[in-house]
Amino acid sequence: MNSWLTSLFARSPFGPIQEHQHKVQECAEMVPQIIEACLRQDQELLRRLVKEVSRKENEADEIKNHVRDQLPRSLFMPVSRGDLLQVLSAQDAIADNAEDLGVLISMRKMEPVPDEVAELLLRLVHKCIQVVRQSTEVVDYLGTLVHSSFAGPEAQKVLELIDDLDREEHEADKIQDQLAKAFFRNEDHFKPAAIFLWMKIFNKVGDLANFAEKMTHRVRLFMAK
Amino acid sequence: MTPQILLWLAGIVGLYMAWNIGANDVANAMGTSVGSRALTLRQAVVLAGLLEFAGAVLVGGYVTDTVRNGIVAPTIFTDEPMQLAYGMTAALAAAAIWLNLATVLGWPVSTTHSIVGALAGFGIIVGGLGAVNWGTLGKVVSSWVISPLIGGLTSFLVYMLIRKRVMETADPTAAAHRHAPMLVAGMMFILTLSMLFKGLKNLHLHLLWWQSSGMALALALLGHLVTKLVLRRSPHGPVSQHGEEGVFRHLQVASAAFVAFAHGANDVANAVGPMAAVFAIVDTRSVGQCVPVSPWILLVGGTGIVIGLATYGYKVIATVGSRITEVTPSRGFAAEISAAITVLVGSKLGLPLSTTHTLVGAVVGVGFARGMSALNLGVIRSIIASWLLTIPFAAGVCIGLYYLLLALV
Repeated sequence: MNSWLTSLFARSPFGPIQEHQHKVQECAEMVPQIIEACLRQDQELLRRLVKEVSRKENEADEIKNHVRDQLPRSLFMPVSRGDLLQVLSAQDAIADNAEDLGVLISMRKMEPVPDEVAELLLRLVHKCIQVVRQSTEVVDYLGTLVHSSFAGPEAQKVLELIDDLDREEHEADKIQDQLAKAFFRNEDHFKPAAIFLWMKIFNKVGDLANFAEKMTHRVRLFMAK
Repeated sequence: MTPQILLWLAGIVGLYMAWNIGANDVANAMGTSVGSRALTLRQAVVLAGLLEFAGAVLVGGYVTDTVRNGIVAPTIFTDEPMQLAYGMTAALAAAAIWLNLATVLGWPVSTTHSIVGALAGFGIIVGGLGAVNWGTLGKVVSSWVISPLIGGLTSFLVYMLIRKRVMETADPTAAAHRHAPMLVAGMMFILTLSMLFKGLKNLHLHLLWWQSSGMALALALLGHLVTKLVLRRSPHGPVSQHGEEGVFRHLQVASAAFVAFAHGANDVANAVGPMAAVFAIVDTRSVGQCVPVSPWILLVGGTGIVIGLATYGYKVIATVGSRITEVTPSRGFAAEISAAITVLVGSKLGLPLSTTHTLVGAVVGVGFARGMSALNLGVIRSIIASWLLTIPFAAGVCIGLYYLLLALV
C-alpha cells in the first residue's frame, strides 16, 4: 500500500540519535572500571575491559553511520541538519575518547600511582561520567522537544539541565587542574614514558566531559529563537 | 449502441469515478487522525463516510457547471449532441482510470484536474484547439502553485498561532483549554460562511450577506459555548489527561470532519457532473448551457464515495494511521483545518483549488513552523511530476476511449 502522505513523512532521526547516545554512554561507563583496573594493576581485567569498550565503540559507530545514512539533504527537519550532525559527531567523540583511553592505558604496564594522584584521578573520572550522564538526560528530552516545537516550559527545563551540566563540567575542569598539579608534585615517581602517557590519559578523561558539554551546546542551538 | 446502454455505461463509469474519489483523497486526511489516535480506524471510516455523503448530497452540484461548460464550449456540439454524451462518458472513464492508477501508486492527484484534463483532450479532438477554454486550463495550471502555497501559508500561520499561544506558554494545557472555544468558534464561522456562500444549492436558500454572516456568527457562538461546556465538564477528565494534545485531539476530529465534508461537497461534482450531462443530453437530444443534477444522481455519487472508502479508502487510512504516528493532534488539526478552509474559500472565489494539493502544502507548512520531526522533501519532485502528468494522461486516455466508443456505435 502506497500513500503520498506516508512517503512525505521521513523516519524521524531523533530516536536513532538517542539510541546512539545511550551506546556512547555505555562506552563512557566503562572508563571508571578501566582506570580502577589499571590502578589495581589487574592486567587481565584491564585487557578484557579495553576489548569490551572497543567493541561498544564499534557498535556506536554503526548506529552513527545508520543515522547519517538516514539524513539526506532533502530531509526537512525542525532543526538544522548541520547542527544535528554536529550533535552526532560530538556524541561520537565521547565514545572515541573512551576507546582511545583504553588503548593508551593498556599500551604499557603502568607502575603503581601515588594515593594522592589516584584519588584525584578517580574523582575526575566520576565527575566526567556524571557530566556524560547529564548530557544523555538532555538527549533523552529531544522527543519531548520535538513535540513542543523546541519552545515552552519543556525547552526551559532542558536549558536549565544544560546550565547544570555546564557547572558540573567546570567542576571537572577544576579537578583536572588539581590532578595535574598533584601529578607534578609526584613527578619523580614516574618514568618519562609514564608521564607522557598519563598526561594523555588525563586529557582523554577530561575530554569525555568536554565533548558532552559541546554536544549539549549544539542541542541548545535547537532552541535558539 | 442504444442510448439505454450508454446511460448504463455512464452510470457505471460515474460510480467508478466516485469510488476513486472515496478511495484516495480523503483517506489520507483521515489517516492522520488515526495516526495521532484522535480516532480509531472504524470511527474514521464511519465519520468520513457520513460527512462525505452529507457534503456530496447537500452541497454538491455547484461546481458541476463550471467543469463541464468551463473547459470546453458546449455550443460546438449543438448539431451533434450525442457526440458530447460519448465524450463525457469517455472523459469520466479516463479520469477514473488515472485516479485509480494514482491511488495504487500513492500519488496525490487532483480529481478535478483529471476530469478537466480528460475533457480538454476530448474538446481538442472534436472542436480543435479553439474549442478548449485555455483560460480555465490556465487556472488549473496556476492551482498547482496556488493550492499548495495558500494551503502551506495558512497552516504555517495556524500552527505558529498554536505554538505562540499554547505551546510556548508556562502551562500549555491551561492555554489549550482557554483558546479551544475561540478556535472552534473561528472554525464554525468560516465553515458556515463558506458553505452559505457556496449556496447549499440543493436547499434553495437565498440569503443576503448579512443573513449569512449572522447565521455564521450564531453558529460560531454556539460552537464556542458548547466547547466551553464540554471542557468545563471534564476539567480533569480524559481531556486533561493528555495535556494540551488532549484538547487538540477533539479539535482534530472536528477538522477531519470539516475536510471530509468540504471534500464531498467539492469533489462529488467530478463524478456527478459529467454523468448528469450524459443523462440530460440523451434525454433531451440537445445541449443546453446548464444541466440540472437530479438528487438521485447526487445520491449515486455520494454512495460511490462511501463504497470507495469502505472497500479501499480504509486501507489507505490504516496505512497512513500506522505509519504516521508522529503527527500530534495539534499538527494534524493545523494541517487539516488549513486545507479545508483554503479549499472552501478558494471555491468561493472560483479557484479550482484541489483538496489534495492543498493538503500537501499544508503538511509542509506545519513543517516550516517547526512542527514536523522529518519531512522527505525529495518526494515533492515526484508529487509535482504526477500533477504535471495528470492533464496529458487523462487527455490521451480520454481521446482513445472516445474513439473506442465511436467504433462501437
